[in-house]
Amino acid sequence: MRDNENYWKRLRSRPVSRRGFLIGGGVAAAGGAAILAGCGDDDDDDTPTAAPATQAATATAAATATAAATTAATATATATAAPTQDPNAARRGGTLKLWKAAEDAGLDPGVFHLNNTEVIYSTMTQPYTYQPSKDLISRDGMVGWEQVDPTTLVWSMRPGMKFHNGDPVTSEDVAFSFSRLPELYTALGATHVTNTGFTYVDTFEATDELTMTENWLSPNADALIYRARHYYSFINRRLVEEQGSVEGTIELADGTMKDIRSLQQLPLGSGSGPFTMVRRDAIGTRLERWPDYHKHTPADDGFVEDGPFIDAWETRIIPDSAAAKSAFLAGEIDVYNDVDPLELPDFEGQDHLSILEFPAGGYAHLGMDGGKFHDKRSRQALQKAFDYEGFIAALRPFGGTYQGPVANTLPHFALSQEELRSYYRYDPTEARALWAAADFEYPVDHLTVFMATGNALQQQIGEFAAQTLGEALGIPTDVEAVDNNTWAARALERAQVKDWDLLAYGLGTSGGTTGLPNDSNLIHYDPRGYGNSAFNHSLAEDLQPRAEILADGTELIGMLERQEQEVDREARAQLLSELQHWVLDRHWCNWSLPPATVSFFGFSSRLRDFAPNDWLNFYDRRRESMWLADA
Amino acid sequence: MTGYIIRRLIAVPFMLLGISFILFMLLYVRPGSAAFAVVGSVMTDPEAQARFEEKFGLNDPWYEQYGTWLWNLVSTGSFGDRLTPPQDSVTGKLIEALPNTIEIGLLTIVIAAIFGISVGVLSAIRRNSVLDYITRGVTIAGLSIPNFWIALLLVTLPAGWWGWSPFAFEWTSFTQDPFRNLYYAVWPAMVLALASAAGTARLVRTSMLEVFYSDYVRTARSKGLRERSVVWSHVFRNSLIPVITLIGLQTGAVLGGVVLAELIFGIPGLGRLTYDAVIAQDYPLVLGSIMIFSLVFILVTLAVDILYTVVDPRIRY
Repeated sequence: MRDNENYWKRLRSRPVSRRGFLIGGGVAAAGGAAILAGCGDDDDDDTPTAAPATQAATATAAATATAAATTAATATATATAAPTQDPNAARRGGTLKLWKAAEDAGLDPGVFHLNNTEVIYSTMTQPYTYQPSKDLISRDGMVGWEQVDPTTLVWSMRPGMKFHNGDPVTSEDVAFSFSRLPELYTALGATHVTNTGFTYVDTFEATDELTMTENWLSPNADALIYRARHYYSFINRRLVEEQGSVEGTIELADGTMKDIRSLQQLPLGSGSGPFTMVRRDAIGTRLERWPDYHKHTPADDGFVEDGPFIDAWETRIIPDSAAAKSAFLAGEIDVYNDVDPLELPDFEGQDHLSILEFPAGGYAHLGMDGGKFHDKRSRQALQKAFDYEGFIAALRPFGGTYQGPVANTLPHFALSQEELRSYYRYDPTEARALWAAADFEYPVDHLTVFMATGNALQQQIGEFAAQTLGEALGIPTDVEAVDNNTWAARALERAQVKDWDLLAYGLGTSGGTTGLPNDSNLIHYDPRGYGNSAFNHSLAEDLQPRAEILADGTELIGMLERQEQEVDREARAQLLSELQHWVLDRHWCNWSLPPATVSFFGFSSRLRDFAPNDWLNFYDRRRESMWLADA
Repeated sequence: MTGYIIRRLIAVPFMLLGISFILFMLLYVRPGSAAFAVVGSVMTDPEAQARFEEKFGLNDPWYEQYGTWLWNLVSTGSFGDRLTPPQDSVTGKLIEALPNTIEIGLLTIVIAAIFGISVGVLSAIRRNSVLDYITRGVTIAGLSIPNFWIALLLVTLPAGWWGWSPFAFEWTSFTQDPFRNLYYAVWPAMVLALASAAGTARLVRTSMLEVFYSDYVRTARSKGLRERSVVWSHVFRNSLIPVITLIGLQTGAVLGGVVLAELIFGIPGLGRLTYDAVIAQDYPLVLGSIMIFSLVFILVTLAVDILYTVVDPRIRY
């Protein structure tokens, strides 16, 4: 924790002896002499001076690591002899150091998930389940569940749980936490991208002190994974009611009005997870291990005995990514996200860190204004006017791949490369013919690719798109780049026709997957999600959608709901395949530009057992078995 | 003199009024909406945006919005609340951030003045020597190279070469730990000082050379005064007026540069706060922070004018 005591007060209160004064004077004189001597010296001396220091640091680090390893070995050996000692003692402790680019706008887990707030949620709050990897669901806030029938799920809560202020976690709190979400979104007048996580739920009921029942309107295949999400965390009802800020008012069924509150500040006691927040300011956040977090003794699915091992998580705010890279190179932060492949040589020869290669799970899209491109032929023309192989050659130095509405990181549900190539085919002649034949209610004699500033790769993607489309279709094109907030506001603006034509977003370089098709690319095509507002395919009557858009949107929603409800994995894969072919055949909404084949993440060598593949999924970073070698 | 200072101080609110009006109008005509930033990754519908705009008066005519903001400032001394969560007091955020920026700014000006004047004096005394040529070359480089680029080099190169970066500690305020604070603050200050020092050095050199050939200096020399007395008592002091003007004007450049320096070095100061506010379209915070920048600049200009009278007794207001 930060020491808030005033330095000057401490200094004043400290008595200075005559000897101390003389020693201080001597040191100052010697220091002054050394500086004077140094000023007259040659700069060439700097390198040999620095090198031993680096070597010394490396040697110290190596010695520490060796010592830690020895200690671990000793601890293991001792544990065999004397079972009362902790075999994991050498793994306990330390502070994991992360970074983020900006302060969090707010911390209510039901509302925000930007700027690494997920680190706060996944460590500070506690949902029913915990997903240590995309293929594993562990029990966290509950000890069991039973699917009584296709639309009824009963949860058995873990007894003895407490919020960080000591308040007990009751089933009433849990029911409140879940019921609050739809009310919160209604109050905000907002559509959360994760709406699909609860739209199928009719009621959440606290059956008794330790039992919760969910009654659904329709079956759902993803409920267990959804209940590992931070927005399903248990929130302290008392704190929301006492300290929450009013977000809006909703009318209840009986006609009464109800204030809906959020927890923007996430005060102490909001959560019941393994870490509690001790500091949040403009410098960053610090979360420390909460000793009363429930124990998994003996260790069970995904949890370690008496975990987690790491004592604290610190996230520093470093707005500039080059500065963050520097801090990573200097060992001041442990994880550096999304390494640019062109920067890889900068990390060579650095023993204290490693750059790991992963399959790229990201997306890069060009969205189409549904108001202008209501005719399928116009959308098809655009997609055939894009030089996919040229794009890969120019912007994917380690190779590119094709991607459909379900991301390639879910191979069981994704379409094959051959299937995708049949849709993403560059053919300028056919593109011109389709463009000429297309019906335009609002004439398009010029194409504007609209994007946000701040990322060089995004700029290159936008410019490539403008160039290839302009050349193939023979019409003038340009790129309009604005700040992120203006971009978002104009992208989401509800209007009959957007003031842009094509919306460029996503880099297609990295990103994890939760194992849910909806969390992958699919949400961008969903008329209930981004496919609604961002692409102007709104089905709202006030926008007077064209008949073909209305019919297609309604059909797509039906297909989306059917795949969500299908609990049989193979049958769901079939439904998703049909859905994707439908989307690609109609050139619906937007099209996916080839993402990179691989992505790169940097990790400090002291971070151990962190399951790199799962780190990419930001919901899974609370892995209890992670430990720090120099702790 | 007192009358002059009072007149200048009376003018300050009117200058700030003009600045606030121009600034408000620029923010008003800017496209985009703060409503999006408020709900993060949530997509708002028109009703929600309308509710938000009504809550904060954003759908009122511009003169009502500006009038309300101004009246609030004059009557309560408050800059209002932020539009972005947690929608707390703008004044509170400014008070948190301002000391860090003032510290960086002061440190920059001190470093720039020390190095700029020293190098300029040396260059003038040893004019047309090798030292003069070197310092002139270095100062031209200092003026030509953008300071954000120097900052990026300072941040990135040592990290790759020696595993050192300025981020060894978190930012700590001066009162909490002065040594850690200075360790952190000195890097952005040095970067910002480079261009200022270079400008100062060139001006000091030119001014001193001008004075070197004036009649009264020749007279001083012919009286048999030692060269040291000639340089410091006659040449240096009489060449200071344009230097003081420049240092005062450089305050503006430093305040502008501090935005980039705070972003690159991750310092929670007024520059970073302003940048974040502009991106989030949080206009009360943008207005508040730029008003503070303006006030500081106006006061520094006044201080420079007063300083003239100290350096040159002939100047009277």
